[in-house]
Amino acid sequence: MSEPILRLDDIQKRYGALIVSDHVSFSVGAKEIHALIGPNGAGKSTLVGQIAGSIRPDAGRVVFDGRDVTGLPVARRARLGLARVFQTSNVIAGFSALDNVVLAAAATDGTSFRFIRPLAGERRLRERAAASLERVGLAGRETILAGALAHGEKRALELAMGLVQEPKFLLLDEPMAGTGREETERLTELLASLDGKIPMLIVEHDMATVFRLAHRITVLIGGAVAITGTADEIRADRQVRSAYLGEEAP
Amino acid sequence: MTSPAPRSLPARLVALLTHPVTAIAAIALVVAAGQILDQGFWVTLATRAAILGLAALSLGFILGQGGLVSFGHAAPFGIGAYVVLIAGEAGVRDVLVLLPLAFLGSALFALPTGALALRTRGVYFIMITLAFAQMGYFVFSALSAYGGDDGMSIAGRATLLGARVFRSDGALAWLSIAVLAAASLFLHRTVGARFGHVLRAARDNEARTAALGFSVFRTRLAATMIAAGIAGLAGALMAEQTGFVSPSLMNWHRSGELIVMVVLGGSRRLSGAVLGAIVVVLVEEFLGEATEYWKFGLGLLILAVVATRVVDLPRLLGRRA
Repeated sequence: MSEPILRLDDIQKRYGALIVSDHVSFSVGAKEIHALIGPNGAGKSTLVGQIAGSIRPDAGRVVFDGRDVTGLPVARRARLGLARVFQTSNVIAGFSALDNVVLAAAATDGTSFRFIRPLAGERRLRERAAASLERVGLAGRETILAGALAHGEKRALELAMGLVQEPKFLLLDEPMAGTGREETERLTELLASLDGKIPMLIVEHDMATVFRLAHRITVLIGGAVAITGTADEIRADRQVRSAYLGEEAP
Repeated sequence: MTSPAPRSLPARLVALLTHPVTAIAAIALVVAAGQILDQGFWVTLATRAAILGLAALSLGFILGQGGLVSFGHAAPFGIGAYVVLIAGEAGVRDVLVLLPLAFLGSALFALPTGALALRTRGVYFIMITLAFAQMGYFVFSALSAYGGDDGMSIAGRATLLGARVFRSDGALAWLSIAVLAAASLFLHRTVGARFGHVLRAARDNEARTAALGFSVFRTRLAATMIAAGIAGLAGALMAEQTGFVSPSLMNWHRSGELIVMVVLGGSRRLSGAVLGAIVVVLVEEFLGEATEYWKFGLGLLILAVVATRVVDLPRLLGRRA
């Protein structure tokens, strides 16, 4: 495997006496779909926050695309090509679906400082945005206010916002949370179609999705990495079975 | 963005009333009528409405679009006025120098104060902007060379390329209207441009906007500086109109009054602020003449507006705001 797109290097984070990241190290390869699983309270969301930049680790390094980004704020990391899909649906509720994606596309230029030219007139952005909406199955929903979309549609919209940026890396925090069976399968297939094109780190509870997508899986228990390995290795691991997978394991 | 065409008659009326051109055209009409009928009082009143409308418009931009409730907008307003006073004492009187100078002075004030205030949120932001404005108030109160507490008359009305055109109230009125129109046009463009979208997106969802790659802080700081600069223009025009500058221009009452104007006109709509300023100026003038308790009347008006907005008047009239 060539140079990894993301490398976590001995990440440590504690809130008071509670250790939420306990010497976490793993990496995501340049063409890899990597899943992060673990029971509730294992520290997955804190880790996602540290990768995205909203939370600073106490110690350790986050290396993204060969560059130490540990000290960089959220917006800088995003401009380096790190796109994030939040755990809870996180769209601009007052904007139409299309405008949400247009805004995301505009962000790839890295500047908000355009004062005169109407955003609605930036054709290239709108075309990219419309194509991205179509890709996630939201064609025909362009003018609906994002806040009025159904839950599953919001998840798809977030994905469209991520994809339109043509990111170097997708950070997906429980993208399937709260979506219906059918929607989950559709989104899973969409992500699978990106296999080999965009590397991803996907935090997910839905094991079917994880085993369908992930090349490798990292299991986080009590803030520490229990094991990193392929789906088969994870399935076979006794410790993981008892601590986490339980009856959920297929 | 194109809003759906309003259909019913009341909806059309609301759309016409809230059209950005309407309020400015109304002020211009009053000035024209005042000049034709030789009613100096109308001209003065309309100029006051244009100037306060300009200040309210700039506050409406950061408050409505950015969700930044500044309780210190009187500070850049007052600084603009003091720029005119201080530059005048130094012999600079040309309007083509004074106005850019006032814009710059106020915008520069907003750079450090805004950068600090924008690190806070919610009620703390309100308090810190108030605190900065009060600091400005006391700094200028202490400037004995420029009248201290009592304030001071400006050296004289501004000139245009050496010509003393602004000795006439009419010329000053048209200058104020022109500045208001220009600022309004610029801000309306900005609202529809990328900058306005990012500002609103950050208002609705800051974490999302940052995760997309926009620096929310820098966007807000730029918006704050633009708004302060425009408020500085308004302050400079106010100094020209009254010919007198004192720290009371940056009193917190005025910050509150500007917020009232923005809220009265409807903060989500940029054009509302000018409308709100006109209403406040009229109430102050005519109710103030009838009774010294005119603020009671203004209070009732605010209550009425806020109460009906709960019902959402535009939607009631068949049009979504």
